[in-house]
Amino acid sequence: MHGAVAIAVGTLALVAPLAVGLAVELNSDGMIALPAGLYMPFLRVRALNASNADATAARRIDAFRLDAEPVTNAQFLDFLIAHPQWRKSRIRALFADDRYLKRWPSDLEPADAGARDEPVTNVSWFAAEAYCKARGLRLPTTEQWEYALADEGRGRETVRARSLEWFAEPNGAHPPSVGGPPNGFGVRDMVGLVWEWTLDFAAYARTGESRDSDGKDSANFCGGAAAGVADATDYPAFMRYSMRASLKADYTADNLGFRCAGGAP
Amino acid sequence: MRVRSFGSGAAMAALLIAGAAFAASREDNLNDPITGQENAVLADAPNVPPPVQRDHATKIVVHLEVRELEGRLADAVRYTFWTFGGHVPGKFIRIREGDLVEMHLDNHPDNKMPHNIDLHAVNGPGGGAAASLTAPGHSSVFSFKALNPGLYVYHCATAPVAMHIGNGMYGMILVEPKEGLPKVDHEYYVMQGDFYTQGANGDQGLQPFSMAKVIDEKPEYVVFNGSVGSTVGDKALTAKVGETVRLFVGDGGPNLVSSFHVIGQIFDVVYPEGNLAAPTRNVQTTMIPAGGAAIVQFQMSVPGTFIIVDHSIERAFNRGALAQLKVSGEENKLVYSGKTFDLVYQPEGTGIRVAGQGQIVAPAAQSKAERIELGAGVFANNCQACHQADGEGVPDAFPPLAKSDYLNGDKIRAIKTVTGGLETKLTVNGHDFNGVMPAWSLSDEDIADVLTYVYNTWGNSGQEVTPEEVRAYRIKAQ
Amino acid sequence: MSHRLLFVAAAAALVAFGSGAACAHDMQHMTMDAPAEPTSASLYNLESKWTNQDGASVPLGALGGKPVVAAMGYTSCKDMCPAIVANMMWIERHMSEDAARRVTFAFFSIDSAVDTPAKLKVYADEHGLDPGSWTLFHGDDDAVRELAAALGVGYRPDGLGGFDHAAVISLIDDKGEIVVQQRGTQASSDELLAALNSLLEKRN
Repeated sequence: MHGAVAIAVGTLALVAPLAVGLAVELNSDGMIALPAGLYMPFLRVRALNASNADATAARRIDAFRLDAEPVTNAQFLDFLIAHPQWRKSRIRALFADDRYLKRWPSDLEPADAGARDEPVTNVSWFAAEAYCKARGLRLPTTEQWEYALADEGRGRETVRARSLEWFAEPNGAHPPSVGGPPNGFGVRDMVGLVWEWTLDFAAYARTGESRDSDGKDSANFCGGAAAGVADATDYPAFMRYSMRASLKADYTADNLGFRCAGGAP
Repeated sequence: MRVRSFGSGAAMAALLIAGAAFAASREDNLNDPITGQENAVLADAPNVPPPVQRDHATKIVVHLEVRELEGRLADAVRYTFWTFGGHVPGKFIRIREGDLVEMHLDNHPDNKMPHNIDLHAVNGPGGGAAASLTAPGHSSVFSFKALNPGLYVYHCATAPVAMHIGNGMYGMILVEPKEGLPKVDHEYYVMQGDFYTQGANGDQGLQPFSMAKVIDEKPEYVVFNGSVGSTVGDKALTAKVGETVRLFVGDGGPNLVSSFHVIGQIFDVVYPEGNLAAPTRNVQTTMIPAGGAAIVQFQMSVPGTFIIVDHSIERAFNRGALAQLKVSGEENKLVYSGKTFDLVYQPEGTGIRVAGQGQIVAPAAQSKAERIELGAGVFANNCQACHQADGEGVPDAFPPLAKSDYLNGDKIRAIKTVTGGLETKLTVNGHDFNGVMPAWSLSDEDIADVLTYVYNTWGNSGQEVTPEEVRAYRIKAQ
Repeated sequence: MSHRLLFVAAAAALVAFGSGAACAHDMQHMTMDAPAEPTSASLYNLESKWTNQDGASVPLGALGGKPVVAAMGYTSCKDMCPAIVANMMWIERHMSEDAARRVTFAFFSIDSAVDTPAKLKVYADEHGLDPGSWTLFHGDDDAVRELAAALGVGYRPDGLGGFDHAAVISLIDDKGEIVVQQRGTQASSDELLAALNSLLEKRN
């Protein structure tokens, strides 16, 4: 459909080739419109008294919009200019730990010129959510994020292989810049750059202990639920859910960024 | 009976078997009052922290820092290890039963992954894992009372567990009984683990983790203490004749069970599965379960280099599960005659050369005669199984080397066959063969020696092959 | 037992006071030199809006000036929420009458669709929660998500109209900072109670 599409990404614009024939709807705000569709969740959580059929059912995801790429330092800078309370000198301790915007030498200064196109990292859930809200958006739910990654089954092996490669790469001083190849939806850089916050990351708090398949014995959690997984050989998926489970909303990390989501266009 | 020092492991074993020690029950340990506080002294393999000297329980503060680091898995093979404390295996922790351990798991901010810790010494859900899932740049703290003495494995239990363990996230914690362990001359920490690289064993460069191979339980490397050759040469364990050695042996897995054996040394005492209450005696090979441990103890009677292996022997010779214990001191001809042969012992693929009696590197031949003599050893170790001691081979399977027209016709072809292997049909002395000859990971010196030996035996042409010729061929072949 | 009776009597005396919880807290702001701007780590940096069981709109910051024992749950929960509330009542019971009066027990519903203020009121009455010291809060999805994030309470719909959620009781000081949290319904409340008593002593 598009041979090349100009994507306005915050303060910069870049031209990125998309595979011919891809039905990608790219809005001027750098977002991708994802169609409604069915999705098989990796993590199958169900109430203990629910039927097995419920546990294995595919989930219907409504149409939504998602940032084509993770939010960059340049974009986050624009937000900080407009919302001074989220600058590193002013952020409240409730909202972020001590490593908030660690790579930024000062309030309005991303690490260096090259860092402008890198995903912003060391942002807390509160800061990420505030950024999205300022754009009239939200963080994607975990299901929306995973649905975008699942890409209707396209490129499954590529995602796994790229994830494992990324796990094995020693940590660099900076994450790579955004602008990787788009998946079938037109979404980029879902793996290989940074982990990403989701709106309801805390909903999966228990799953870091992967061997606890029966939640009923966990006195820390109200309500009985059994968690199974769709594919026990999908190590990168385990890792994503473990990462979410290890987080708290004020945490920041060198490899943790985010992108925003919104309702259907 | 409270005795801290015993004359020998055997005496200790006798006492233990008689039930004289280890009266402390779980309840005793639970109620044992805590006096004072100290920071744990930790150690990297092959070292262990010094024995506990306290006669009371205390609060022990342990800090384990998780680091994800690129390091050496084998020569020219790099790997991104996930570690408890910067090395594989993780730091050795040593405490006393009844101690209250305050465990700090510190996930370094440079790390990418969430991690946690499951200590098998803990009585509690997840062994601490449920309480210690930690994001990069954060710490988790929990405490536990050491109720059961023994040697225990700890490991990361974050999903996917096999990947965390497979990348090196395991170590050991020793919970000493109140009485302490019998005094020995040396204590060492040896831990086996299996590694799953995308490239085959020996493929160079930074090797990514292979999800497919770990799921199939088919490792490329099986190693002691985190890398091929971690504990050989000048890094070998050491002892003197007459001294008693205790090895704290663990198996991190993630998949393989170890058949732990020291070549040429009987274990006087083994505490199977780390169980201090029921030692056994006079053991040749002891099984270490994945996620399990054992303590083995033995007195050195004669000098030499003793090879530590997983006696599932392919792993030792082809995957790296091989370490050394070098013992110096006086010969004892009564115990072992030290006789006769001085073969070059050349485990395939590991690059470790061991000649008997403490020599590590075989001497290079100074003459054709010496080359033939050394070549006989190389032949016996590497070639004889197929080509037979008389060089006649096996009809229809392995070609003869005796009076071989194939060999005598072309020296370079012979070098090529040994260095690069052969996988085509060939005709030797009028007979067709269709087998496979593997490429041999032998040194230039060894190949020159073995070919010279073959050319000067069984009626062959009598020529000499030099290491220079082998080297020249390799360069040209590249 | 006499302790319990005294408590009930005191509660009765405070009914009028409790019915206007927001106003009451505002008054405390005036008199107890609560900081004008929340401290950096204070939960009262959250700007979320809540409604109490009497239908009055209450900004979260209105809880400032008193220690708060807070938990999140939902009223139709049959599993562990009753245990959470029971633990909070145990804490209340094990305080002196005077001390209990200087503490707010706050229950925040995570079920914004079902737990209307009216429903919360019924729940409070059924459980005999003293309106003088207990406030039950209804908030919209955003308010719930934000507070849960700040308190470290994970939750998710269980697919049957209810929720799985972490059982967490938080002790919050008068500035809105978390002092200690009790996780799990089987955990003892002794530590939280001791921390609460020591908070109150410091204020004396």
